[in-house]
Parts: sequence; structure tokens; C-alpha cells
Amino acid sequence: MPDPQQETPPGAAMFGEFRVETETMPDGRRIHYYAWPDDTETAASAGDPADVQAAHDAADSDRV
Amino acid sequence: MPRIPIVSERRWNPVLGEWTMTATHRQDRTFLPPAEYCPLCPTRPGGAPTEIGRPDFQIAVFDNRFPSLRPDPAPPAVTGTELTPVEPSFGACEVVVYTPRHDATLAMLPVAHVRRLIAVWAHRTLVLGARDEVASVFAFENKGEQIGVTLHHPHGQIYAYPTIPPVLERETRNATAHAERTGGCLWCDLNRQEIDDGRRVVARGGGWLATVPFFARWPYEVHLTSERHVGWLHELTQTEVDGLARVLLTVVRKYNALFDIELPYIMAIHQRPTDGGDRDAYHLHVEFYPPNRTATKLKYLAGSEAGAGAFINDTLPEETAATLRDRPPHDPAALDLEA
Repeated sequence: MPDPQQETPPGAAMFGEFRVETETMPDGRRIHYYAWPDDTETAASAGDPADVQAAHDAADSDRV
Repeated sequence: MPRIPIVSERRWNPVLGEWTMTATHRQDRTFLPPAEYCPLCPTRPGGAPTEIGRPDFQIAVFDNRFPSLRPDPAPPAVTGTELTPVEPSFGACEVVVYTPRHDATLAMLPVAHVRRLIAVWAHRTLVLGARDEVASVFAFENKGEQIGVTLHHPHGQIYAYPTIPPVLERETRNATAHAERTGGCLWCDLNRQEIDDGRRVVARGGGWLATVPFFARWPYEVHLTSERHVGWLHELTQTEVDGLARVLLTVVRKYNALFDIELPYIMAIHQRPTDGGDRDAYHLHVEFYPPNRTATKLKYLAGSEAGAGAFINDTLPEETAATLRDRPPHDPAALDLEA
């Protein structure tokens, strides 16, 4: 397998460009935040009733 | 949050030829907290701190507070023998939080967000699989209290094992033997058989096939297999990533339509081992095991299953596949279009 490169992961092109920000939690554990610049795609892709509700909620709360 | 004292070790079972992980600290893990104390929600301004220190995120992955495997395990609590060795539980246990939305489920996520989740699974596999002490990376989701879920916030887990776990080891061995015998891939040959027969196909599209397998152990067990021979998620093409997102969503939404309940399940993502061995015969696939045989009746692992390892399925895969096929959604490619 290829070596991991956290900032520019292999396969990024097929997964869409994303960013990984790693932080240390208060007790020393690590947390990785994965972020995509095209956040609107998440809501825009919604279609079925559950998705539509999720998209509405996301739009309301500015969350996925 | 205080760090929990960790006791993580592996004890060898020479009778079955496998390791049992001991992780006593897991007895203390958070159990079904009310939503306002959910540790997987973002930390809101003025709110109680959670595992996630930010007020918002898209997908977050963090070290499990109650790990069965860890990069720096303490020495074992007991001394092993030559017959029954004991080892520190090297590896990693991570939690993947799918979304900040506490009340969402995998089935509710839009296709685009599931593609992102696949990217995260793929990337964590690369990161963890590159570690010398890791032989196999296993992403999974336990859904529903019937499965033993202790937190309702939509999330999955990733275990990075120091050896290939028994099920994957058995699959690897059988796949290698099949390749040596026939020159072909076991899963590719199964795919061809299922497509030719058609009776057990649940959904198909984007380079993925979902079937109730011929040899299903659970009534509504479904396997998703890539139609191209690949071993890891990071090897998928853009079309295949989209295809997996759509077929995966199709299956979990069919599950919810099956009995008009949020069907519990175990989702197991089986990828090629990362131990550096010759594992080319291994083929990426995803397995779902819902415990329900009806809306209210569960299949338990009882005498034959737990005591002898011999599963008894009370249903015909051809019939359960037909039932799942009939439930919506029907076309993975149209997920964004169906009203």
C-alpha cells in the first residue's frame, strides 16, 4: 500500500479534495477533522424525503 | 475528561487458534446518555465539553476513550505461558463521527456525504495500515441498541489489529486457495454466479453488486462487492466511490423500509490485510448483518451458532432478496431524484 500523506492523501482526486486537521484532545488523545471545501454539495445532493429533511435541517443549522 | 486506566491485552486460545482481547476498562464506557450529554455532538458555546472540541465539523475521527487496542498498551495484567501466551494489545481503536447531527442516521445522509465518509474510511486505512504493528484495518458500524450500541449519535469505528482477525484470515486463506486452484478471484467468481442467477441480487450499480449471499447466515444479510477486483477502498475509481455510496445507501434505506422500523445492523467493511503479505487474492467487500428475522423477532446466536459455530438460517436467501428488492429505493443511480 502507498504511504499515507495526511494533507494530500493518495486517491484524493477520486474522493474529492479534502483537508485533515489533527488536534490533541485534553487527555492526550488525537482527533482528526476531515473537511471538504464544497460543503454546499452535501445539501444540494439531497433527494429522497429523508435527504430533503436532512438538507433543510442542514441549511437551517449550517451543518451537514 | 479524565483518562480511564487502561488494561488491554491479548490472550492466546490454543484450542481455537485465535486471540481474545481483554479490555476491562470498557466496562466503564458511557452508556446511552441523554442527547444533551452526547459525547459525540460538537461542543456548543456555553455547553458541556464533549469529545469534539469544535462547535461544528463535517466528519471527525478520534482515538477511542475505551480502546481494546492501542499504540502504547500497558504490560499485561497476567503472565502468559508457552501454551497460553499473553501480549499487550498493540493497534488502534478510532471512532468515526459521521455528522454533527445527533438525530441523523447513515440512511439519512446524502449521497455526497457518504462519498466523504468512504474517503475517510479509505484515508484512515492508509494511515493505520502503514504502521508496522498493524496487520489489518477493519471499519465497522454497530447500529441499534439490539446490537449493543451505547451511543445513538451516528458513528462507526475502526479497529487496527496487530494480526489478521479470524474471519478475515479465513477469508484470505480461502481466497488464496481458490486462486491457486482456479486462477480466479473468489469474489469475482461469486459475483458472476450471482449476476447470472439473479435471484439473490438486491441492487446493482456504479461497479457494485449487493446480494443476499447464497450462503447467508442471517435472514437479511447483504454483501456489497465491487465488480472490479480491488483490495482496498483507496483503489476505487471516482465512479466506484459514487457507486458504493449509492448502493450502500440503497441497502440501508431498504432495511428501514423492510418492517417500517429503523433496522439494527452490523456493517463490516472487509479490506485486504495490510501486513505486507501476498494478499492479492483478497477482494474488497462490505457485509451487513441485521439481527431481525421479523419486525419484532431477533435471531440469536444460540447453541449451534455460539457453541458449534454452525449457523442456521430460518429463511431462504432467494426469498429475502426478493423482499428487499421490492422495497424502496429501487435504483441506486436515482437516489437523488426519487421523491
